[in-house]
Amino acid sequence: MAVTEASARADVAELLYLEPGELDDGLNLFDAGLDSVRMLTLVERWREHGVEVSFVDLAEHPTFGQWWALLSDA
Amino acid sequence: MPRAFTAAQQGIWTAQQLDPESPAFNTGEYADIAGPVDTEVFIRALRTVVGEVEALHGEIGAVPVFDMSLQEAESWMDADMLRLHERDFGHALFRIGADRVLWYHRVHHLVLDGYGVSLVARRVAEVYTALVRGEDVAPARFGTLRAVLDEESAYERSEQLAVDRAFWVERSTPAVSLSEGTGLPARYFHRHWAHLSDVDTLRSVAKELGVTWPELVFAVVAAYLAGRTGAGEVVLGMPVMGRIGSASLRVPCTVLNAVPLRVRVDPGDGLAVLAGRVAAELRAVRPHLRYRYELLRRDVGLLGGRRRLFGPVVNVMPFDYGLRFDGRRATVRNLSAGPVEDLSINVYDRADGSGLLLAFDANPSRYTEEELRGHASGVLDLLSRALDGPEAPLLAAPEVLDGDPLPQVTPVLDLIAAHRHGVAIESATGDIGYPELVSRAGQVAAGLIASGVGRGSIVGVRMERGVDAIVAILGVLSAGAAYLPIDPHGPQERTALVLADASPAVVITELAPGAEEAFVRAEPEDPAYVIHTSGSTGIPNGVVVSHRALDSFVAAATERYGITSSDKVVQFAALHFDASVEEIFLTLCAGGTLVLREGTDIPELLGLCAERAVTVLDLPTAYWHELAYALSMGTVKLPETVRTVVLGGEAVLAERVERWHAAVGPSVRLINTYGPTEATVVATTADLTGPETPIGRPLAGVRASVVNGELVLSGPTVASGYLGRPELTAARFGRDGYRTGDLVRLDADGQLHHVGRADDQFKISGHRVDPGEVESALCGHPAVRQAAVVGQELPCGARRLVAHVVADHPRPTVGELRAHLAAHLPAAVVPGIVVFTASLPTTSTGKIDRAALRLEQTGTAVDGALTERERELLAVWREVLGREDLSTTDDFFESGGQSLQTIQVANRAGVEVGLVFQYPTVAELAAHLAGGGRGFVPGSVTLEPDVLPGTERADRVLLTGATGFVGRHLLADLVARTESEIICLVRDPATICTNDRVRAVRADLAAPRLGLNDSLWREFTGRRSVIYHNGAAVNALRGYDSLRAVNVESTRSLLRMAAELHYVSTLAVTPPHCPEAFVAAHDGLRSGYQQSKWASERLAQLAAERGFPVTVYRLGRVVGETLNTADPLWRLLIAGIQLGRLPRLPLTELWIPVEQVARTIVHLSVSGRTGVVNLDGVRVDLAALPGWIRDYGYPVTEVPLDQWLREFTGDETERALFSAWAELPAAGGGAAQGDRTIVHRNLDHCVRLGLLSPPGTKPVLPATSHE
Repeated sequence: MAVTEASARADVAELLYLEPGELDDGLNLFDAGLDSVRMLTLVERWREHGVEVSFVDLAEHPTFGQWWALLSDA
Repeated sequence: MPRAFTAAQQGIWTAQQLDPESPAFNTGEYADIAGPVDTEVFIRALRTVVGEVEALHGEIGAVPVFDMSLQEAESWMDADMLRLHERDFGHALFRIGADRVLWYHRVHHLVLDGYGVSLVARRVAEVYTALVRGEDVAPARFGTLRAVLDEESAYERSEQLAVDRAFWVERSTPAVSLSEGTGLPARYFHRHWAHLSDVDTLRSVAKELGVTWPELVFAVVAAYLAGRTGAGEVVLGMPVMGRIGSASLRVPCTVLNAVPLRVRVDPGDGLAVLAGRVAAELRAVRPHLRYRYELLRRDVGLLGGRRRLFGPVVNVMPFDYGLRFDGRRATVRNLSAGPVEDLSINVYDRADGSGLLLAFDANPSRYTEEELRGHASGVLDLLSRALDGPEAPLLAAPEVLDGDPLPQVTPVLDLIAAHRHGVAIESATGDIGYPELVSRAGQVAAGLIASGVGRGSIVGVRMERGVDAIVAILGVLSAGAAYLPIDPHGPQERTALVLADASPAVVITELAPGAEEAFVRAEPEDPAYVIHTSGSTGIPNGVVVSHRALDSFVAAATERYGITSSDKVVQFAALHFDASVEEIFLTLCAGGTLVLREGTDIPELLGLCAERAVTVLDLPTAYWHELAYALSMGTVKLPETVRTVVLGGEAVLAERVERWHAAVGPSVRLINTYGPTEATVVATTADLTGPETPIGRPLAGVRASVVNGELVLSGPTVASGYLGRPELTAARFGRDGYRTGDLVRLDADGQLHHVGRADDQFKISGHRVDPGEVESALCGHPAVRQAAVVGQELPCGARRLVAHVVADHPRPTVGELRAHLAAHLPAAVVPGIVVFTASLPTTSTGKIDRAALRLEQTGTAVDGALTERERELLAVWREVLGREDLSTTDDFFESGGQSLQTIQVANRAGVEVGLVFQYPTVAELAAHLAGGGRGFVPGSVTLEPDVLPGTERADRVLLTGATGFVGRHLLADLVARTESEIICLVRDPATICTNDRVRAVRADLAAPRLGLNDSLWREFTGRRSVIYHNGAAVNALRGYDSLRAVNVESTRSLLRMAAELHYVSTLAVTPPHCPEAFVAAHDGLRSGYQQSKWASERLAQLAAERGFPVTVYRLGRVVGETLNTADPLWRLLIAGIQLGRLPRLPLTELWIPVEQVARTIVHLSVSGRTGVVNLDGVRVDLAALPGWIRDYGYPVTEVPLDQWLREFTGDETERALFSAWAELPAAGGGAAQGDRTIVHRNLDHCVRLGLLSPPGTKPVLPATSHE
């Protein structure tokens, strides 16, 4: 199963205890409580689905909008 | 202002300076790559990446490739990790079978932190993959160090810094550890790997609880720590990578930080509650993670103390570690994450979902391996229990033993005042009745009140034991104040400490008569007395005991002992010892009579008992041991009036109890008591009726809990705390009560047994030693009267057990005693040293003074045939180095001696520090001190007639000194330019990267036959080799005699194996005109080093005359792009730059680059040239050095050498080295042409190594205080 924008949004939202609909594209994820361990969980999950995205890339971009741009490029 | 170090690097650099030789800052790991790897391409990828990483600066060096088993590879890596390396980083590849390759990489923590390493590893994987696939290598996307430094500078200037500081300072709290040890930072650590396979449960419980799994791990470790220590709040260390939201995210460098994570643990807490608390704490600290822990330590005044910011460290590695090399998956195995101060738990989440790997790392000076395994399984057991029931309490309920309910408690002064009749105190100077006693106390109280004393005041009583002193004590209490007994015969220093600590309002030294009487009633929580105990640090701690505690104790103990108004009790104890509280108040409150003793002689005491019809004796255990012995020998007799004997203060010996029972019988009640001052004199008692020696059951009102073996006391008799020591009070008086530090067990009959002191417990080679057990065994020997066994921790950290024995005549031999012990005890706990003594030292309170014994310096007396001086010196050597196995011929420095120990040896032996360097064995030093030692006699250097050229030769090179600065380059060039097999003769073969042409053989240049075994010696002397003799001890301080073996005799041995000899010598052997020929001995040969090199050249010359092909290569100062950190000149320059002052050095020297040296030697040797070759390089005028250093940007001034040496504030041994070195004559004369480029290149290297900060910045001075 590929990673879709909806599934990725759901993955991130889950770790922040949000509903997918509450995860605004421009929300600063780190301010919202996303720490390195949670981020790594996401990297691993997406990698299992064949999407190579690095921790560093994600960590440099604090919003979901930017993440999706990275994920869809990968 | 620009800067060159990240704050993290400064911290590491400072820590490394405390132990510059320590390899503890090596970090390393290996990637286990599943699949074949093209090693050549891999090495190309490494080269590329090393070139891209700013922090790694420089060449990669050789990358050895090995075919080995996994086990061999791991041993090689372990050995590599334990060494100090010149280069900051290193790599190796291991082919483990056909389809498995390990990539090992090591780097100094100063250069990269764990996250930085992971960035490099990912990039290597990326480059390798591209190269193997023939694709273009995508450009690296590393950021610059400058950006990281600028960001840090900006933070340091920001207001956030102050906000963060305030946040952490406010949160800082004392931290507990799982070890009571005070071990120093170690150079290596114990590691225990554990695997947690069921991560699914971990993750699902985390999800249910709404936390992350690392938060669960933190919670469980916190609970484990709280459970083991009894602390209500624990502080874990949490490394933080400091990358998110930072420029350092893409920069391989060192920025990591660590913060204290406070976790309160309440008894009923389950995992759910605790994990939630951890998560909340993490949220609270997250905005403040940038504040450096080194700064915080300073802010909260932790520098130099044993306290730390946090206890165990929990490090969850959240690095993206899904490495793939050309699609082949690699898993990473960490080898070391840096130094381990206490205990670190490193948690690695395997990317392949195979579970968590936990590395439990422990400082070996604080934990044995056995303890480490115990903690690891304890944590994992608790984790699995917690996951099974996240709501269930995590702390195990302690074993609890409750005393009976308290009888009625009445204030002691009310009880005493109620007695109208009878004698209160009998003494040699007369008796005093109760009404008079109370009245006189009231007069003292009136005087005190008049001078402002009242409730809560502290009044010192510094008086001889006697009626007046007891009146004074009661007077102080009658004024509502607390008394502070001060030993009138105590050492001044301690008295001063006690007075400064308690600052009493008044100190009573004698009583003035008065008429008025007064009385102020104290409240139960008001202090009744303050008694100082010896703290473990040597600073006395004032224990504050309240009226409630005193009154409760008196009620409970009176009942337990059955003291009545008809009892007569000897007042034996000194007043500053709380046994006196028991004697005085129990007797007076019961209306009995106190009998004041005079001396402490046993017959005298028993005489007093008989004369005064004493019924109760209360004695320190050590004294009672003597009494029991005397009674058993029939030399004294216990008066019939004595019906009860109470003993206490330390562990009672079963052997003496047996003697007592045999001599005295059951008619006299024998009560063993136990109690720390902190729980008001006595907490538990046992009637000793058989051979057992329990400490018994708690007094009424006292609760005894056993928490992980440690006795914890609670109830009304627990003291209020330590005067003016809130932190110590918090640490010892915890949630459950007072932590005694005594280890006990509760037997089936409900009796407590003392097992030992937590802090006396001593571990030797992993065996836990209970001194009491060893003492009991010693006392089982018929000739042993008394014994005390103490563990000594020597300054170097080594441990040994010493038995101090009082024995009857004829005294048994040490061998007999050891054989006796060996029959009763495990070999490891048989004391290594037995010392006979006439008596054991006791403290002023009558206990065996173990602290004094621990400090006592003892050697062994087993070495026959030594001179007195040798014996003395050997004792000092052994003591300082902590090794009993040393002999007079062991080299001090090779036996572990370092600069600190050198100074200790010099001080204790009463010799100059320099002599220890010059004569590093006991035999040499003793001979020198005795005026002996043959020294350097040029005419006596001869070659035995049977040393002749051989007929058979092998295609083989033997190289000595291959691990040295020149030797490493020589080896590389020999590999590159010759075809022969190369055998390196080295002390530690593991230090050589061997391959199919390069072998390493263990050898010792200073030993006969180079320490080679017989078969190698036969092989090498049979079929001769081409010898490159480059190894030597280069030391400007040592004398000829101490260098002769290694520098001269080695050449003699090597000649017996030589087809050709290539001897690396020094220009320092030549007279000023530097002839390129063998030279006769001359006046310039002043140091032992010069003399030994000349003598070795002389042997080479004699061999050449016999037909050996011999070439001698004389070198000037060998320099390189990388610094030769062993070179005294560079050490002097670095020290000078840091001081801002350099000595004027009016010398010229010949400098030659190391690469040129190696190339030339190998080139000339294969070309067949023989004779003497001076490799003179570039002439450098050392007087020009300060100028070049100023050109480089360091503002240094110049002072004369002797002034500079006087002002040098660093290490004494360095000073000795500098001054000896500067006295060496310069090699040769001639015009100075100079080369400052090489100086600048070495300065670059100093900056890169962190030995110097770059010019134009504030100098980074070496730390002088330990943290």
